[in-house]
Amino acid sequence: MGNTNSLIGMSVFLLIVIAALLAPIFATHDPVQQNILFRLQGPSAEHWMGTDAVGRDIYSRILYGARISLIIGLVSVGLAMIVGTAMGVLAGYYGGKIDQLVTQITDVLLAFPSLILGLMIVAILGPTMPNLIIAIALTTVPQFARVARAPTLSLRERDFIQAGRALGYSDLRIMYRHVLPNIFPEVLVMGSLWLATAIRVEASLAFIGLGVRPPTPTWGGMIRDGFKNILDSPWLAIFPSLAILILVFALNMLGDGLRDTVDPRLKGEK
Amino acid sequence: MLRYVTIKLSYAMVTLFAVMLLVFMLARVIPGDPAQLMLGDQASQSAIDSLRERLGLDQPLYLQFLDFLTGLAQGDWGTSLYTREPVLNSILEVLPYTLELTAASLLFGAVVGIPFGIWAALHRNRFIDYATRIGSLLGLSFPAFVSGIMLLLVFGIWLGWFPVLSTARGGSFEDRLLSLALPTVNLGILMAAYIARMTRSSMLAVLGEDYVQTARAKGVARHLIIRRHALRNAIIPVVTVIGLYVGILIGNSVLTEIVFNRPGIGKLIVGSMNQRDYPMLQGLMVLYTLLVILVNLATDLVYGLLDPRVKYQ
Amino acid sequence: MMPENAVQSAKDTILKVEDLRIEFRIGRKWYAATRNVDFELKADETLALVGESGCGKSITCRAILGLVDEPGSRTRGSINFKGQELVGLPDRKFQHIRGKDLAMIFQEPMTALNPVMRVGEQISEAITSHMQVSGAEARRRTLELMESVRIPAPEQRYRDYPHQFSGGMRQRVVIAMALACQPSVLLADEPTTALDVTIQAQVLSELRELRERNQMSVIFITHSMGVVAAVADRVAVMYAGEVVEVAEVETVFKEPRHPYTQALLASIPSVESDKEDLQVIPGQVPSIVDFPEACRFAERCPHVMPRCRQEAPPRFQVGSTEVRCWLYESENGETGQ
Repeated sequence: MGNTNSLIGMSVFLLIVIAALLAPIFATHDPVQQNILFRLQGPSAEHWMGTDAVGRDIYSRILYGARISLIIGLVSVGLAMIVGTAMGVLAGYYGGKIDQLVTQITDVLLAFPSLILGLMIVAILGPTMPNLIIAIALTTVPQFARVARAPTLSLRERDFIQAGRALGYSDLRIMYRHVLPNIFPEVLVMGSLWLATAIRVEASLAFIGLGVRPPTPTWGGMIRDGFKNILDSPWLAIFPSLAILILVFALNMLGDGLRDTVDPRLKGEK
Repeated sequence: MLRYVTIKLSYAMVTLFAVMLLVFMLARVIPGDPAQLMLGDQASQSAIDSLRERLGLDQPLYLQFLDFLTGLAQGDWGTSLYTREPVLNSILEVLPYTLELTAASLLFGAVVGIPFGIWAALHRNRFIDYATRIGSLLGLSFPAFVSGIMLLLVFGIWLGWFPVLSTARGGSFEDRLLSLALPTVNLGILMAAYIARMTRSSMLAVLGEDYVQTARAKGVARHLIIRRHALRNAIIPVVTVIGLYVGILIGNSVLTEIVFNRPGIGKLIVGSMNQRDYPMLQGLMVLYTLLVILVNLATDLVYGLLDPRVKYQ
Repeated sequence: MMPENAVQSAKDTILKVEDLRIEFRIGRKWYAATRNVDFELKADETLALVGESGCGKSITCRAILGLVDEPGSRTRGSINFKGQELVGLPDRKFQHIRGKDLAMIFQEPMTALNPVMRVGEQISEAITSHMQVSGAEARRRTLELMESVRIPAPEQRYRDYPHQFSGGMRQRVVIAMALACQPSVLLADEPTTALDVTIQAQVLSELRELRERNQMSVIFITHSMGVVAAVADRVAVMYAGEVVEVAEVETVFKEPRHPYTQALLASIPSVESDKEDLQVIPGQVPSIVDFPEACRFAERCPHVMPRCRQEAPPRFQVGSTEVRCWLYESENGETGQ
């Protein structure tokens, strides 16, 4: 089941990435072009998913909105992966004071609900794309630090690492060449799962009103606008909601399936 | 046990101190002078200076931090820039609504998640197992506001079973219960998904343990093996994980409160954010930290009670 | 052993295992972890099941108790216990035999006990699972059992948890659980391997005493010929999932027939030692996926003949010994298939 799941998840994710990359080709309308004459229309042949309160085409906005979700998600998780893994490996490899410090920092950061922390940071710094990326990355760093630390601790005691030390290899080289490749599969699996979370958090912030500023379309922002018209034009909120759900679900399927492949013992744990 | 509690308590104190420092520093990072922010753009320089002095902003940072901590301890959490009310009063007024929602959804998550987790583990790789795994994965994939909107749309608007406008404040007991139902389910979906997955994997691990074989070899009935031997051991890691996820639950309660228009901390935080009410935001961060640390402490204690080995470590 | 045992060895068969075949599915194919497992257990005797780790002795033991029922496994052949066929018996019925008339002691006392349940409760559970007794009565019998396996101060230790016990004490708890309903057959899966040497000797002698007092038959699994000499009346030697030789204990030590048994005995420096290294036999035990259809020992056997690589040997009777080896084809007629 693991392989089928990750295959389905991967395919759906890639389809969405392609759709986002080729948004100008697939889009039927200009995503920011307002047309007051065609406002709040239901799905039709002309507007596949209807139009919003100022007459913009929802389908085209969803395609362009995917770009924001994917960029913020991928960059922030990529950053967090690099910083967090480095912290975790250093802590696990050197142990002692460094380990204590890193563990303390991760514990403090983990003590805080990530959505609240992200919300605070964006509220203070202002809702721009770099700030959103920093905020989401910061809340994700401790997760990677934790994932990288534990296996490094046990790897440190293994023969081939000890042999490397005996041969006089530098610590940096051992960490990079020997520790990293061994923990990489686990880190990668966490990456796809936390990418799902990052995209969820970005959408949530946008829903609260802390998304990338208009007129750039974001899924969370579209749902925020659509929610105002939920009684008479529910499709405004429904289509972008489905878009987020499908993307996040695909990533979770991918990560969950990968985890089964990487470590069959953990089947279905989260 | 006493030693264990003391250790956990001292850890909590360290974390609390560190987060307080973080909150304090964050407040200093806010662009602009707090005194200026409080008094507005039209204020005179002398008024700003005297406020700065009154707030202790002219003192060295560590003294300011000390003042901040003693203020918190004495219940002086600052004054809202918007309502001019003490921050603590505003928080305590809406806190019960959030706690009520969180507790209800935790209960929902456990009542739904634990049986499904056990059921799936006992039928590993059968239909119910796959269904539980896919279902819980789907549950984890809903941003809380997406599931909230869908629940509201289907059960509130289309079917009309539950009130669309919250009657959490005032109203009869029945009204309050009805208006609690959808938000509880919304927040509980995520919890149920986490708990089901955790219970399943924990059960699977325990079912492979030697002592389960021993119990079978003794001729203990199947339902007793599941309850007395497997579940009693499997539930221990589930409890710790529930503690960890309460933080996520609190975060998602913000979104749930907005969608269902319920009074609570979530609405307060978004409101103060829009009004740039920094003392209120700072107070809320302190509150969240306290909540998370208290929950973690409670989790550790429950863990200590469930696992007899803890007392002697 | 005591002289009266020699007389008793002519007694009735209490457990008879015939052509036991435990199979596991790997991918789409079924592989036999054991085949040609035949032996009998007579009333009041101790049968040692001996072989290297991975030879199938533990799983045979678990199969007798009906514990090999995970998905992707199946058991064929016959296990006859006091006239009742156990292979294919539904778990619901098996449950009333397990722990009552057929009990088992596991190898690892550190993991065999439930860590979150009081020791006394775990022992009394063995009683209440099979007998309708009051709580007070179950408790009284539990304390008696704890005393009989020499757990000091049972009254106080009743309420303790397993982690408060030493390894030897835990194994005594496991033994007490197994003896709770006075079973007629006890399966002991390397009950002393995980213990310190001095505790080992103690537990062994106590087990022997308990066996005589309770009139039980015992199947004793071990990899140690030293332990075999100390406890067994008869021996069944297993190699790569097969029983290759069954004989009286004296006969095995005096006249081992199967080349594997001979190698096993040759590899111990002396009978008294119980930590011998079986790895001195050249070659390796084949793994389950490439067990040969013919004789499984052929590749390591010093007396290997062309026929050994073509056909699996049947059981031959040599004196009182039953042996699966082509070397004995001419000596006597087959007894098995």
